[in-house]
Amino acid sequence: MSALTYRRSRASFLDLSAGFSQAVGWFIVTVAVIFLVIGVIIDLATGGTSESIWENSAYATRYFPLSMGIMITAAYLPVAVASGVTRRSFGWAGAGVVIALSGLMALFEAGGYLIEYGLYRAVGETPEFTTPHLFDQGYQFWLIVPEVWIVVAANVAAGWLIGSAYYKWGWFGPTLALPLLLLPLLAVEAIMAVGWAGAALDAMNVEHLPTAAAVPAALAVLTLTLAGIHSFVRTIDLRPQKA
Amino acid sequence: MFDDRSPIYHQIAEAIKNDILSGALGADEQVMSTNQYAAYYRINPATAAKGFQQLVDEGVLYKRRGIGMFVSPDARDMLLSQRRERFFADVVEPMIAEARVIGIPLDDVVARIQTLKGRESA
Amino acid sequence: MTLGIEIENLTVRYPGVTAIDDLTLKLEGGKIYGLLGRNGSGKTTLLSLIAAFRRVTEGAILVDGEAPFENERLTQQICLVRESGDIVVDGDSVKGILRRSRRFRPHWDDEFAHRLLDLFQLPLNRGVAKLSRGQKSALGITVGLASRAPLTMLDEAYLGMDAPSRYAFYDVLLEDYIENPRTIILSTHLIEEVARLFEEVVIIDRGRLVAHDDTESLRMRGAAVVGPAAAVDDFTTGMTVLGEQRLGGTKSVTVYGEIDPDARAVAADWGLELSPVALQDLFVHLTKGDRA
Repeated sequence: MSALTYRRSRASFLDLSAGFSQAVGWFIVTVAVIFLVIGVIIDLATGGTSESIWENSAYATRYFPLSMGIMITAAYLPVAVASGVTRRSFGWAGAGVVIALSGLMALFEAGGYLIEYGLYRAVGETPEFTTPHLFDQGYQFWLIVPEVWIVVAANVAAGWLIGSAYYKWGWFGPTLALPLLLLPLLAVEAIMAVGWAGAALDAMNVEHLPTAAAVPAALAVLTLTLAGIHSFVRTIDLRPQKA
Repeated sequence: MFDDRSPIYHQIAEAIKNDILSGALGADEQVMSTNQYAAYYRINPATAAKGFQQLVDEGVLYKRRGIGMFVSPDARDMLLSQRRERFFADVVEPMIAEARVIGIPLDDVVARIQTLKGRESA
Repeated sequence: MTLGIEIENLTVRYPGVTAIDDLTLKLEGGKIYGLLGRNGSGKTTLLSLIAAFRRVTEGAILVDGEAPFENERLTQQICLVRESGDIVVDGDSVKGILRRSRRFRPHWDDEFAHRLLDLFQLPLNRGVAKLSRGQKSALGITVGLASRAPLTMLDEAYLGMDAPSRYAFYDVLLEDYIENPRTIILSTHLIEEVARLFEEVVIIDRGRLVAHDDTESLRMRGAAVVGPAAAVDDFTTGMTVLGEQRLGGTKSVTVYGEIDPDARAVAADWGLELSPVALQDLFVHLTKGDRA
């Protein structure tokens, strides 16, 4: 990457981040309030189960970033290109957003698990998980962070791919091809044995990959996906302006 | 300021010539720069420059490197003699042609000129 | 610094229509160009290709000797503002747009941008979505000029702006061009007000080049021949006739092309009046044609 490409990618990344920051901030506050404060307090007050409440926030921290991913190309490619940024640099910026946004979600999730673990322990409980994970205790942030990071990154990337396809081809073709566009995401979830694909494999009693193999394999799929999106984005013409 | 009847640079040159003839611009006086002129009259600087260049070519203006353009010392005399030469062709002959078309006898025209001349010398 | 443009045999096809049809054009750097064409003549498509908004598929575009598509060195120096601009994301404020331009435009002049906002009376904190049509145009112009891009293209930039704002725009454009020479292309179909700003004019129609010349020469190339119908017809035989009008026995024919001194003498002899045609009229005649 040349110094110029780096500089332009960085500028584009900062522009995307500035655009997303407000929505992401509100999302984090909302999720924290709903799952941690209200959920945990109600659960503790009613002397409910020892099942983890925070675990359910995982759906929110996947699908919200996915929706942000959809906006990367749809909202920001025209802005970048019209500001004199190449699609190449924009592609790097988009990949940066995928990694940064999912990293942020990973830290947020790990923090949530840690707090929940502390709260449960305070009343002599231990949070239990009902869906498959790389980790089995809420304090294992060294496992939580990579798991959430990779899975959320796959979700943001899927959103970016879908958004790019809709921007380039309109609604008809990409809607038909939606299962295809979701394939990389499902592959990552299957390899990591989490989410829908993970649950499906569990139901079929398929053996999980050991973590030491699953993480590099999922990272490889993710890298390929991002590389694919990067070269795809470079072919996109800006649409004519809305009247 | 400008109309569509002739090239604008030509009209610019004519306007400056008129200023020199009327005395508004004196000998060796600096004229506006092409850029000032362009901004003032809202025209492309290249068009303004063309008008000024025409005046330099005709010897009406001279350039001083790095300073600007000035009215040539003999510009006024030169323009006066040019206008005088053109006077009959540009003013008198069309007047006579017009008189003929609308049926005014030349004697009447001459008489009128005599009257005006008499009034002036009186 | 300025950028020149070379376009060779450029063709752009959209489904069912040829937007640009084998266009060849060379524009030197450092001039103000007027790109004239009717709505749908291909102006926006042409500018979008020069600005690398779209990829060239047939023919070639070179800016400063290189193809601009995916060429970062060039694209950061090229600024195209299409109507109200593509640089707005839902929810952006005027201030946000300035912040974005500051980030992306290497020659951005923030002070100048604020001066323009004052000039056009644009509120800094207002959301772009809440701006009127004319205010959006003014914002586009602000971004286009304050970016100081060596190649600046404004596509129908003044839409919705009232006359005082438009004249303020012409003044500030000229003033800034004199201070910071660069290649500027203004596309427009309202010619009268801006014609004198252009050093050269390019007229396209249905994606084809109709005329490219310096403004004054082009203007002088059109002439209206007025006089007795028979004499006018005789005189204009063999000339490119753009249009004609008849009132009783008098006829007025607009012709395109050089009329040499001999021909002028003949016209005078025959009692025909030759008068120049306003650029706007010439444009109308050159691009008149049946269309849906």
